[in-house]
This record gives sequence, C-alpha cells and structure tokens, in this order.
Amino acid sequence: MVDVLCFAETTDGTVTQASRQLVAGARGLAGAAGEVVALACGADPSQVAAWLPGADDILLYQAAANVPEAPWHAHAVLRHLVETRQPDLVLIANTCSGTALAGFLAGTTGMPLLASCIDLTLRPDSSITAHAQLYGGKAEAAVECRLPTIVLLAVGALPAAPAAGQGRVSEIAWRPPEDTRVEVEALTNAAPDELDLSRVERLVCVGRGIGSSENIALARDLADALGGEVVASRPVIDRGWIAKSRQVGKSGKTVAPRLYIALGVSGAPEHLEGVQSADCIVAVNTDPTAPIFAAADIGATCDALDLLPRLTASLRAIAP
Amino acid sequence: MKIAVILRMVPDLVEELPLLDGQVAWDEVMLTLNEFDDHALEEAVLLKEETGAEVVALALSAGGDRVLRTAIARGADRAVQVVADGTEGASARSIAPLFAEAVRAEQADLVLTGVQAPGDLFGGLVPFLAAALGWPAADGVTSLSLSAGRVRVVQECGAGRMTLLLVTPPAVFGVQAARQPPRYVSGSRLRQVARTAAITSITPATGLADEPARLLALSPPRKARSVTFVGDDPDAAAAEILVALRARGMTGRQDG
Amino acid sequence: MTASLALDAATLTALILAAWRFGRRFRPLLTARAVTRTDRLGQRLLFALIEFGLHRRLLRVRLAGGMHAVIVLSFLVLLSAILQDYCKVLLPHADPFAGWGPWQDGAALAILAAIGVALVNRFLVAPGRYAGSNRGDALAVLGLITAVVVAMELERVFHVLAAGHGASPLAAVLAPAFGTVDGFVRHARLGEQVFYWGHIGSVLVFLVYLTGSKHLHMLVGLPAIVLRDRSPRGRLRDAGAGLSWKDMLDLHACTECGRCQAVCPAYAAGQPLNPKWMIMQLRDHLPEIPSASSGVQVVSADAAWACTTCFACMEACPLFIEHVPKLVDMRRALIESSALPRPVQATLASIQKYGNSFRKPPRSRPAWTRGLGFTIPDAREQPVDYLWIVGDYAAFHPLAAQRTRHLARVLQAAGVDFGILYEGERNSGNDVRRMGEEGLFQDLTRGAVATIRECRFRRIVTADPHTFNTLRNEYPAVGLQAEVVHATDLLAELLERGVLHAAEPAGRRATYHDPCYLGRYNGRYEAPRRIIRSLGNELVEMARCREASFCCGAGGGRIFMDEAGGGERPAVQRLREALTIRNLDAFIVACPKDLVMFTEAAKDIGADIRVQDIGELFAAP
Repeated sequence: MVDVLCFAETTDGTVTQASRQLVAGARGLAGAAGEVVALACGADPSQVAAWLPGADDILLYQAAANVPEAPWHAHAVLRHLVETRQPDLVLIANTCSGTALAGFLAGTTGMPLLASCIDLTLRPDSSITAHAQLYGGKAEAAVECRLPTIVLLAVGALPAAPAAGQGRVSEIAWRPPEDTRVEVEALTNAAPDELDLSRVERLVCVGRGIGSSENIALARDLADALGGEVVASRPVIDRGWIAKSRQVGKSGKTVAPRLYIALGVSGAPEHLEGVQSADCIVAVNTDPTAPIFAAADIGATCDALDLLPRLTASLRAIAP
Repeated sequence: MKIAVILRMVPDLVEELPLLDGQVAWDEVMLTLNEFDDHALEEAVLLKEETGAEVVALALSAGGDRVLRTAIARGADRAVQVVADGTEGASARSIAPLFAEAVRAEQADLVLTGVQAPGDLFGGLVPFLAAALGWPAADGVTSLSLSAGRVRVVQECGAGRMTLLLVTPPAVFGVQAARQPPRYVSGSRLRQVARTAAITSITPATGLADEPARLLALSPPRKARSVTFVGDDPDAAAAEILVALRARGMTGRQDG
Repeated sequence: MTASLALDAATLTALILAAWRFGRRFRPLLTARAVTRTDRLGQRLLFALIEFGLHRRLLRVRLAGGMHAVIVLSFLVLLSAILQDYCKVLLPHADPFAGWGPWQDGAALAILAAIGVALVNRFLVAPGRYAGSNRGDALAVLGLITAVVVAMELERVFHVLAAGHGASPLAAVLAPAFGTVDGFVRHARLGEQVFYWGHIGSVLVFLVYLTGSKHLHMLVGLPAIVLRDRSPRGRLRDAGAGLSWKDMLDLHACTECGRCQAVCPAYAAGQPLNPKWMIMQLRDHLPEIPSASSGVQVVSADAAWACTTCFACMEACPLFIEHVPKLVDMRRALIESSALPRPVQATLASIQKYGNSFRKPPRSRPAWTRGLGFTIPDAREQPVDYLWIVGDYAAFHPLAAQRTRHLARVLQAAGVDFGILYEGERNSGNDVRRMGEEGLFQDLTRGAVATIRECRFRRIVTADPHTFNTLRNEYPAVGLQAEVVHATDLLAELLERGVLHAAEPAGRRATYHDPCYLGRYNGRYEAPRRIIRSLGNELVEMARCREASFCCGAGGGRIFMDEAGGGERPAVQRLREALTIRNLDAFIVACPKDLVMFTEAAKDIGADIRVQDIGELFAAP
C-alpha cells in the first residue's frame, strides 16, 4: 500500500494522454488502500475528474490571471505537496517538461529519481525495482531504490487499473513565492501549423540518416503517396530541415498512427516515446543494430534514399 | 562575465555498448564527448564571441584531458580538470558537488552543460548542480544572449512551444541545441593547442554525493516486437514492404 | 635625322609604357611567397622548347593548335621585317635578312589565313570553351596582328610604286593594281612612309597593348612552361600562406583558351566551378588580394569546394598552369577559418574521431573479412609478402566490400602471401589532404607510417587508387620506404604467370574507365588493359580515355558532399558516353569510389549496363 502523487501534465487546459495513463497506472500501484493524488496545473476544472478517474484527490493549480505560468510554478507546487503530503511515490510522465520537472524536484527535495522507466514493481520492504532504458536504447538497466522516490515513467509502463470512482477536485490556494531571478518574457506556441499530428494515421518519419534537407523531398513523396504526413526526429529538427511542430519524440509531439515509417531513424527511446502506439512500424536503417528494429514490425537495412523512390513508385502505381 | 562549461565523456553510441558482468566495460568502451555538452560548449563560445565573456571548460579527470584540449581549440579560454576518484559510471547527482565546488572556485557567473547525457539513469546534471549551488536553472535551452547583465534564454519544451526567460546570474543552464552546430576544429589547430594549452586542475575537497538509487545490472535491450527483416536490396525491400502494407490495408490514400 | 629621332622617341615611349604596365602587373610577384622552380634548369629549358616547338598540348585541339602553330611560325619570320624597318632608319647601310622577302610574304599570307581561321573558329564554330573568355581582347589582338601585317605589305607595295622594284614578290604582284590609282603613284614615297610608320606604330601599339592583355603569354608563356611544377603530380604542395610568385605568373600566362573549362567535370555538371574563370578572376583582382591570402574571396567558396581534384585541367593546359593547388590552398584557408560545408565537416570529424569516413568504430574495419572461409594474416603480427592497405570505401561500403572479399579470394587462390592491418588501418589521408585538412592529414600519415614500420613485407598493394596515390607520392616524405603497387599491377603479373583464371566467358565487349588517381595522376594505363584483353575481352575505348578520362565526380572529397549543379552528375555523363558503344557488355572500373558512383549512376538513369570491378574478371573458388 503506497501513497502516490502524480503530476498530470496539461496542454491548453487538457490533461495529456500520457498523464491520464499515468494516473490510471498509479491507481494500480496504490491498490485499494493507497491514496492517489494528482496535481494538474492549468487544467479545465469541469473535465479533469473525467480525465483522471483513478485519482482520489485532484488538485488544481491555476496561475494568477495576469501572471504567465512559469515553468517553476509546477515545480514549486509539487515540492510543496511533497513536503506537506509526504507521498511514497511521485510519478511523472517521461516527457520533456516532465523530465525537467522531475530533475528539479529531485534536486531540491533530495529524493532519489529513477528516469526512463518502462516498468515498476513495488516490493514489500518499502522499496521498488524498475527497468529503465538508457544509452540511446542500447542497454536496459535493472534498478532499485527505497521509498520515497520520484519515478519518470514511459508511456504504457504501468498497466491501467479500473477506476474506483470520481475523485474530489479542489483548488490549491497556496501560492509559491515568486522567484525574481527568473522572469518569463514570452510564451510562444508552435508556428500556426493547424495540423494535428495526433490524428494523422500514416506518418513518414525522417531521422539523421536521411542525410540532407534535399532528401526530405523523397520522404514527402512517400507521405504523399500514402496520404500521410512527414514528421522528424530530433536531429533533423535541430538542423532546421523541418519545422519544429513536426518533431516526434520526448521533446516533440506524441503520435499514435496506424502506420509509422521510420527512415534513417536510430530509434532512441526519446524518439520512440513519441510514438505512443502504432499498428505497424516499418524501419529503414543501414545499421542493423539500430534500436529502431527492436520496435519495428518490418525492417530493411538498405539505404533509405534507394528505397524511397521505389516504394513511392510502387504505391503510386497501385493507387494513383 | 565568466562562463563555465561542464563537459562529460560518455560511451560512444556508434557501436554496441560493451558490457561486463552487468556493468559497462569501462576498459573497453569508446568514450566521446556528450553531444549535448558539445552544443553547450558551442553556445558558450558563441556568447564569448558576441560579448567578450570568458569561457572555462571543466571535465572530470577520468575522461582524460583530450576533451579539454579540444575545448580550448574550439574557443574556450581555459580548461580545468576536476580530479576525483570513483567517478566512472557515477551518477549526475553524485558528481554534482564536485563541479559545484569547481564552479565556485572559478567564480563563474554562468554554467552551461548539456541538457542530458545518455547514461543519466537517476537524473541529469543541471538540477543537482543548481541545487548544490543554490542558483536558478533552466533546462532545454536553445540559445542564450546577454541583456543588461541578465541572461535571456530560449527554452524549448515539447511540440515547438518556446518560453523566453530572463534570468539573473549566477545561473545554470542545460543546453538542448546551440544556435549553430558545433564548429569544426582543424587538425593543425588541435596540434597547436596541444603544444600551448595550459590545463589546470582542481581536486575538490567535497567528495561524491550519495546516490540513493542503485543500478543492479545492465543488459542488452529486450525486443518487445519481433521484426521481420526484408534485407538490404532496395528493390526487394520495397516489394516486400508493399506486400505487407497491402495486407494491412495501408495502401491507397486515406480519407480525411 | 628627324626620322631616326622620331623612331627613337616612339620606341622609347612605347618601351617605357609597356615596361610600366608590365611592372604594375608583376609587382605583386616581388613580395609573393617564394618557391624553388629553378632546379634542373637545363632539363626545364629542354622540356619547354620541345613542348612549345612541337606544340604538343596545343595540337590536341587540331584546328586551333594548327592555326596557332602557323601564327607563331609566321610571327617569328615577320620579326625580321620589323628589324629591317628599324635598320632602314637607324642603320641605313645595314641590310639584314636581305633575301627574306618571299619568306616574309609567305608568312604574311599564312598569318592572315590563320587569322581568318581564328575568326571562323571564334564566331562560327564557337566552341564552348570560349564562353566567358574576353572576346574583345581576342579581337583586339587579331586586329593588331592584321594591322601589323597589312601595314608591312602596303609599305612594300608603295616602295615598289616609288622605287620600281622591291624585295617582296607579293608587293610586286600587288603594285600594278595600286598603280592604277594616280594619286598613289604620285605620292608613292609618302605612301611608303605612311605605311612604314603604320607598321612600326602597330608594332609599338601591340607591344604596349600586350602588357595589359591575355596576349602577354607571348612573353610569359615560355617562362611559365620552364618554371612548371616538376614534382610528381600526386604530391600536393605543402601548405604555405598565400599565392606564390609562380601562382601569380600562372595568372598572367593564361590565354583564356578554355581547354581546362572544357574538360572540368564540375563545370560539365553545372557546378559553380570553372577553372578558366577562376584563373581569370584571380588575375583580374590580383591587386586586391592581400599578400598572405589564397584568393578565395575573389573566387567563391562554393567554387573551391566543387573541385574533384581530377587534374584534367592541368593535363589540358598548354601553359602548365596549376589550377588544383590553388583550389586546395583556398580549401585550407576555409578550413582554418572553420568555414566548411556541413558534409565536409561531418566527414572530417568522422575521420578525426574514428579514423574512417563512415562513422564506424575502428573495431569494425575488418568486418568485411567475415565469411571469407579463411583467415587473412595480420600483418602487424607476422611477416607477409604483400601488405594490403584496403582503404575506407573498399572496407566499409557494402558495394565495394563485396568486391574486396572477392579480391581476397582471388589472391588467396593464386597463392599470394598477403596480410592486412585490421583495426590498425586508418583512412590513408589522400582525400583529407585534398579537402584541405593538412593537420589531420599529417596525423593520419604519421600514425600510418608508424604502424607500417612495425610490419615486415616486401611490397604494399592497394586496390584503391586514392590510397595508392598518397602512399606512393606523399608518404615517403613522412618516412615510408616501400614499393607501392596497385592491385591491377599485381593482378596483371599473376595473370602473366598463369595462376589466375577468367571468371567470365571470352568474347565480351568491355570498356575501361581510367581512374583519375591511377591514370592521369600516376600514369598507370596499361596493366588494366592487358588484363582485360588477355582474358579474352574486346576492349573498346571511350573517346575520353587514358589521360583524357572524365572523372566520376568522387574525388577531392566530393563523394562526401551534397550534389549541386543544374546539369547531370559527372558519373551519369560518363556512363552515357560509354553507352554510345554498341553492344557493350561491361563497364570496367578499378577504383571502389568509381564502382559506387557508376553503380548508383546506372541505377539513376535505368541504364542496362554492368558496372564491374576489374577484380571480378577473375575467378575465385
């Protein structure tokens, strides 16, 4: 029996799918007797209970009206909750902001932190064991730690447990003291790219192996022939070859397509985390040891630049 | 303005990770500069070129001093080796106090390092370093500039959202990507630096911090799905993929 | 009296003007970087005289070469007429070249005919290599030569009209026609003087014009050939700051003939490099180039990076101008200032870090040896007869590695005692040096020589012409003392000894593509051809073969760079050239980069042509 504090990440007032799964999983960990508390910053109060049925307590934090929400607010509130409620486990989804949040929380509270966990097991002696991925997916680690601890969980790491009922929703009155050392000047969203990638069924992802920005045209042709969209992993985005709004991965978007074709993508966990679920993953990479093949259904070790025109041509031939 | 850049050597992921008895085989493994730390160094040098700031590179002695020479060849003014035992495979939390002491000894105003390292199982360096120093920090930074004694940073975190922060130094930043890719250093410049570079060292009085979490064993990754390989000939591969897509009804344009 | 004064004054003025213009143009050479080009002066002079005398390179383009020969010969003869005119006024009693009239007439007619041909060539034939050349300058020169010759003949015609006789048969033939004009007869003496001064005047104007024109090659050309680079082609010059005086001399010797442009694969592919334009730009902007600078600011960086270092320009140039070293110096400067294209940076970083251009760990270099069925001796551990330096592409690129395995089997079957360096081998550095990274090149060569020194072997062999080139020409300077052969040399020897057998049936029709670094750079043309023929193949040469071979576009690090240029890639163009040979069974190459470039090119254009490595012609069990 453990008390779990979950951080429910929100975007534009909506709790993310990853966080919803996290809380559902927390319910399973806590069991019937344990308490599951979820912190949601800036979430829509009327819907949040429906999103997080596994939570006993849903705490909402809203930044003051004309104060832009600062990244440290979540941290400050979470830390306050840790200090006041003393949970056994703090669970945070392994997203970009989640990782930063977990890190700072570990730094300021002194609690241990387990990152990139793909599963989690409670032991009777108030400790946990878990498995985590590291070194770009080239190794898996078995780790252990005494409670209380912070755990960063990959999507789907915990099996969802059936929810007991709706939790109590309340607002946190406590305000963190302002940190004058850090000031938010502006918050900008992605360039107005109306495309909602999470709704696209077929995605063609280009990775570092695509070689140059000119070659992306080949990927676009394939996406076009499939009626899908082109997305990219971090190295391609960092080089500025594709708009940031098309980044898939931990620091990008999370997608759940039916078909995911990964070209020249190594398959590091940070990227694959963004591919929440895909019915079929086709991976093309000249390195037969690339971790992407562990996640793929079909793998080809030829050069993507050779494969693309051929595949596009055959697709167009059957469905012009 | 003095900028300290923390450089960490990590296993080079270009090849299979050599494991021995459930741990990284440190004798065999090929080490390379952590890619994000490389970007941090580049960003620091860019700042130096813009503002005349001084850049000091810091690295643990376990990684050797080659990375420090390269840092100077890249534009760092000085380099300091942080001497301590038992740092091989040590977690970011445990080495943070060593760097905190070095940073204080250097009287640096800013600390730049990579946002993460591939072996950071128990958390990244930036938060622990910031906690040890008691300084504000921001992760996921992609560009820095100085403005009237304060540091303006662009913080990116997910799906193209950007936050523009104005931070009062001293502060710690985790760099995600520099404004431009790390520049090339020619062999002749490296050789030149090797002859003249003065690398100092510091042996911190503080020891490694305790790491409450424990690594039990490392193993090669499990395969969750089993992949069907269609080979390395582009024609054959394309044909097989097409067959597989048709079988799953994924050809033809989707509607809407 | 006044005439001689006038002549003296005019000549002196012209000489001073010409000298002043020449001086201004050549002043930068005085403070330019020094190079030694006066070694073996006797051999240099002999070479230049033979090269020029036989018009060896010039006659490769028959029409233009022939026309140029006629102009030069005629001009030399007509110098006598100029001297005669000077003597007429200054030394009236001397009568040099007395019986030369007919020869001078012949020369005059020949030169006018040649000028006619030149005009037809420039305007009607209009070869592509003239695109970008200074047409005005060319016409001015042709015009001035015409003026000199016409004035000379008219002077003689009027002399005949005035004196009734003359030394020139042509004038005698033309005089009656002129004689029909009464005014000409009455003022014949005046006419003669007018055209005397016209002759002298044209010559002096030409002299002064010459110093600001591309025609300066008349004075500077032969010295440029004498002072040419006699070191082995495959040995790139060491780094040095700025253009040397010889580099600057090259610029002034250039005649804008465009033969370099015509053979340049980068230019043919529409890339920003034009070797002729590069020389012209450096020449025209020489005063603006700071003394320690490579001149890259005058030529774009893109042009500098577009060069494949194939040496075709330098092979074609009749004045032995050195285009490639200037471009490499520009690359050196760009690298020192960290201004290099991303792909070049990635490649050099990979070589710096992993010792190969494929971003693979050094441990995986011998991976190609897996599945051979036998173990290749480690030359670091045991003595071998042949130390086989494999090269990056032959080891790491899947297409090339396949052929490397085959070659290993062939050599094993032939009983050759060979060994490799396994992970001890690193990139040989040939392309690193040509990309401009001298420092990395030094590291690679020193390390390689240290490793090789520990081995015991008789000869070094490699199937990679780039590796071959640097081992043979540049490694000795770092301490390598060994005989280096290319795989084709070894294979030809083995074939002659009868220990090798053909893999294919006889009677195939094949063509052979000379690799730049084996052929043009190192003069190895025959061994591959002997192999192909001895194995019963019909070898059909492409038009551009041997030293005229057209580069596949991979050299100089270009294989690592992004494609640029609006035209078809050089490899595609070369393949199309081969495809004009009917019933071709095979396109044979002897270089792993050629293999990769041409195999991909064939796929791109859907060409039904078999690109084969020469090693594949041999059977291996």
